[in-house]
Amino acid sequence: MTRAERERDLRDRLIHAGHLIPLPTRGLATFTSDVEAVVRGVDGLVRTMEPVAGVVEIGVPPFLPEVEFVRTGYLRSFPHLLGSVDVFTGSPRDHRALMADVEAGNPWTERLSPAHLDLLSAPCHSAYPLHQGQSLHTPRVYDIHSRCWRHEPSDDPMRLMSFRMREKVLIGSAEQASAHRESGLGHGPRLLSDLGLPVSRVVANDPFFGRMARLMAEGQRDDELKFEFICDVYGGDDGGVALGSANYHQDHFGGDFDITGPDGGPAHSACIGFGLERIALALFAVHGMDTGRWPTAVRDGLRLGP
Amino acid sequence: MTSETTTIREVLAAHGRLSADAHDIAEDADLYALGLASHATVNVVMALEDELDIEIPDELLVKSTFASIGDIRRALATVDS
Repeated sequence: MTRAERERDLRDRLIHAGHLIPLPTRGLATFTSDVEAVVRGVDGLVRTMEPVAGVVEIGVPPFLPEVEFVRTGYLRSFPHLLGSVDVFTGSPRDHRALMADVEAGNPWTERLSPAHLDLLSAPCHSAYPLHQGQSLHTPRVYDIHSRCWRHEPSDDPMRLMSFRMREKVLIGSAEQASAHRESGLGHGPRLLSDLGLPVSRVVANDPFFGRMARLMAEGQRDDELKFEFICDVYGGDDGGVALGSANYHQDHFGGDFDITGPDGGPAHSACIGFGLERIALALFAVHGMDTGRWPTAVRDGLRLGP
Repeated sequence: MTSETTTIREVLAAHGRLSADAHDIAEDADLYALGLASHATVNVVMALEDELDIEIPDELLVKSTFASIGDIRRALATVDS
């Protein structure tokens, strides 16, 4: 089987087991109780992963105000993945025209207006605006769970457009950010291997857009800024799927948001992030469709109950 | 050639965020060792294209093209021809 065939096979097995309800839009899926219980279990494990002391958990909206979104640089590097929100702000007369278009089967979204909100692509993007223009004398570490969006339609159940992530992000000096990333390189893969997932840690790059993509990817790899925790989900030479990553951003976000670090220079940052559905589905792929037959240690780790 | 080298130095000074003055460094000085980061390289590419009114072909948009002032000058020479 090719990789694409193996992806569809996993999707079919998840559907057949009642874990995944397919939606008409590629890249969107609805999950049922067993998957949700595993997602909750994984989420809890990430939340209690080191570091914990001094970490502030924040609940954030699943989008960023447009000005802050532009500041993150996401639009510059990943325009192909973004999504933004439109709203209706018209009069009753505009509403009648809108409904007439809907009922006639005509295009109608042109009658909406931009809300100047962009869908969050990574939880850590919510943390930097909190400190815009500030000088930090001590590092700040946030634990953030959010639904994220990346527009990459696919039949791979492991590659969703709308998915949940939990991340731990540190904003501080270069040394503090490096140490945070280093800690994640140890704790991250261990969290996954403790769940019986075969994981390796590899240097990686983000999927940059356009003609500068190679230049950006080369730079990111040469400087070892991104490591992914790859699980062999699909088998063969190309069966790996990234379940999480540990990223050192240098002063990228500190510069964008004008944050000064404890050493007086632009703040550095690092984040350790996990894709919750990806980890859950990897567990189903590796341990089977019946969570009742998963190894006891795995069930206990996820608090799936007796 | 001289004016092109001057343009390269000016663009690096404006966009390279180097730890040294781009007007004073050697032709073969390692720009990455002087702190040229990926985002800055992208800005350097766009500024060079604007200043020299050229489009650098995709195959030259790799790190080795921007390793030193001399490397950039030699790469741009192939674009001009």
